[in-house]
Amino acid sequence: MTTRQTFIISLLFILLGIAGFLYKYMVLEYPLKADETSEVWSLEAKVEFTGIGRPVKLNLYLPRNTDTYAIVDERFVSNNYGLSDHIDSKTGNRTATWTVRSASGKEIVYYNSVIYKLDSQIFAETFAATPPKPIKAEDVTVLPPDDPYQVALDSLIEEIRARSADTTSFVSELYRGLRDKSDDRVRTIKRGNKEYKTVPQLANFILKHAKIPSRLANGVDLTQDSPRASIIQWLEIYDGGRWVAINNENGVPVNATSYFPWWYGTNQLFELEGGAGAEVHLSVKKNTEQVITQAIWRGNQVENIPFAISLFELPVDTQLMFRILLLVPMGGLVIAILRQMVGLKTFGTFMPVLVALAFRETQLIWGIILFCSIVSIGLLARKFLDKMQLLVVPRLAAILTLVIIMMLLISYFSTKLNFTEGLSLSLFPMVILTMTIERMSVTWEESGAKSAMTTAFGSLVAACIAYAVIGNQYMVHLFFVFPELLFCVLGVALMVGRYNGYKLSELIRFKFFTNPGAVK
Amino acid sequence: VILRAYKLHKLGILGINGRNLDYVLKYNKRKYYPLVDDKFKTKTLALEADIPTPELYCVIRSQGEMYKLNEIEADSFVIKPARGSGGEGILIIRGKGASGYRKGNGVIISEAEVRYHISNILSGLYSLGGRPDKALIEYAVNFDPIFNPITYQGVPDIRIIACCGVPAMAMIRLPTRESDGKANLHKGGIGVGLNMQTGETLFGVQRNTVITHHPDTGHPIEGYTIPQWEKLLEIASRFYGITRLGYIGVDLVLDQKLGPLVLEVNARPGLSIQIANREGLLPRLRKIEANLKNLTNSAEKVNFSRQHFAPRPISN
Repeated sequence: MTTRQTFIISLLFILLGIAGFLYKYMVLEYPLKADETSEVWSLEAKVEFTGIGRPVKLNLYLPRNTDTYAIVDERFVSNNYGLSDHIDSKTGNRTATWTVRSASGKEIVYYNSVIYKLDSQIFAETFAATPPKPIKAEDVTVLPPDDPYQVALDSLIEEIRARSADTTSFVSELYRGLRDKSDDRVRTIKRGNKEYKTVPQLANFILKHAKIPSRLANGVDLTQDSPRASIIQWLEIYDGGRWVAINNENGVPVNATSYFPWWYGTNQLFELEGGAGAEVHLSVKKNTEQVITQAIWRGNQVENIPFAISLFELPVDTQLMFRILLLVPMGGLVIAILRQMVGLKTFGTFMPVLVALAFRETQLIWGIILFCSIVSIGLLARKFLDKMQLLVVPRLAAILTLVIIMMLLISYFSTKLNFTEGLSLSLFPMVILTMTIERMSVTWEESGAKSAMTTAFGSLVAACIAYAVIGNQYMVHLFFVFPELLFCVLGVALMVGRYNGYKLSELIRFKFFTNPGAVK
Repeated sequence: VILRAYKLHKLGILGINGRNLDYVLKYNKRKYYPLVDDKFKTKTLALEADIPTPELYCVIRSQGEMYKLNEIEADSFVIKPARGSGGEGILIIRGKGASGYRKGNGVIISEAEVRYHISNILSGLYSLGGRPDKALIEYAVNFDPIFNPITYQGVPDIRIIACCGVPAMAMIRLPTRESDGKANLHKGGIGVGLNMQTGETLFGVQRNTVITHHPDTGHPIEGYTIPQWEKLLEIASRFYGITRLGYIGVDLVLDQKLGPLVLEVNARPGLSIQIANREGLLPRLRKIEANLKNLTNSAEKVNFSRQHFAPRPISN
């Protein structure tokens, strides 16, 4: 095949990659950057009680996906309990039920979940809010119109309705009215409804009379990062096709809400039969490992997006593997460019890529230190082995053993000295290290220390450059979200493969021709 | 950088990538590589074609055949890996004694060391890709004394690059003290460009620096004529037909009695020959490619080469 044909084919690959990338970026609006502000929390509910030797049934409300938050992972932990969960079609609440034949002594049941704040409209739409049922006449208790309580109620609603333009302003006016302690009507209404203690509860009641769909939500405030989180209750109204949370203080709708609803209604979080002294502890913890969680969650959402091969559909551990694997071709391309166009000398073709992969785990500085120390100690050992005049393969086996022993010692002492970096040493490619030691030693002997050092240095430089590319979080994200870019890598690799120009190093090698001053 | 690259381009200097893509990949079919990668096969082919090579005393293929070492009658011989590259792993023995063997540079080594060297060869230490190899033990060339004034120990060898049988460029490589008696340029040997027409030495280059005198013997390098030059060119030319490889470097030595002997053929010949000749390969290669259809046999090809590739006047 001629250079031109290869060039066209590579160009096609590159265009294919760019097209896929642009489609995902422009049409599907996949994010270019890993969203660092995307937020993930772990929630935990721990129910403790004392068994009294009777059958136990524990109902616990569970959170559901909302249009702001998605549950990406859930775990239920209990000791020998049967577990079932169901969704109440009327209230929309989800309940988990733990049952056991008999329990005595202290019992603990855990519910764990990881929730993710939606950051993109495409994904958010998949959680269309369930619309409320229309409020029917029999849902509200209406007293005779001349009853003072009913008069107060009607008059309050009338007045607020006159003052407000739409549902949201109605609600905020209502909140203001309910906070007005001097208003006799409010006092009358409060007196008639002793069970509604808080403003949201009262507002919920009054809104029902005003035929405005509303509900009481119970949940946690995600801004509190606490192992002892408390349940708060707030009002949600249905407006403009979605449920809007209302700020408890001023009755104003909260848009990007930090309230995460757990269940709706006025019930308690849990219900226990057959136990005593039940207590529930909630904890809210903001999570930093959001990248992985995002991935898990998106896996559930992208199926309905056309023509998109998304790696988020893969199981999490496979995804994690591909986060690394997808960058290996890029590392290979970097090495190809360094070797073919720059002319850097390295030990082995892809040894620097593997070392760069190891650097990901150890961090660059530590990686270089570890690499240098293992290789130099290995070289000393190799010198010693040389005196014994061993056959090549057994000698390699011996060096491999020494490399492993060194890694073991480094790990051991670094743990003892509290350098955790030593622990990640395990991913260092020991066979590659062994071959590096062997080849370096042979080069040393045959071409001199200078040549061996140059090549070793070249390998290290190549590894660092490869690391700069494949260890870059931005690149990781880019290739994971847009695996189409691999076509570009392929195309560029093909092009580099047909590069017949000079290497940078050859400009130095042939400087004789360009610089007549070199002639003595 | 770009300016430098442009200068090289203008001079027709062949780079590694250019050599690999435009010549090695184009003219050298993979399946013929084994013919030259294995010196044993090259030797056999050369023998069949009546091309002289150093006499093979024995081949050691495994540890068990090590006894053959002691059966060698000749006092001096060379041990080399069949698949070695860049002159690696070659051991020259100039004499046998009670205490061991005398190396080419006069150092005495024990028989155990020689055996260790052979077993290293067998396990592939010097072979391409570390594949198991065999050790060849062959006649140690007595180099034509004409080059004694400009040789430090070792054996000077002649490299001729031929494209489709047309010799394109040639040099002689002289061992120096720095190169430890080896003729390899990257170890400090001197590369001396050759006049394709006459086989005369032109000027030397050692480690990218032009030199006029041999650093160890102090003799001027220029003006030696290689005996039997035409025969050398003809041998290089004929290897195209023998190996079917279109772009090769043929390494020869001149023996005092036996004349030109082929040491090996290289399917990826190095580029330093351009420095030794102070000339780029590309113009010559292009000229060859352009005239190839008019050249049918070795004699014509050699003639073409001698006519067209005389050195251009140096313009320093």
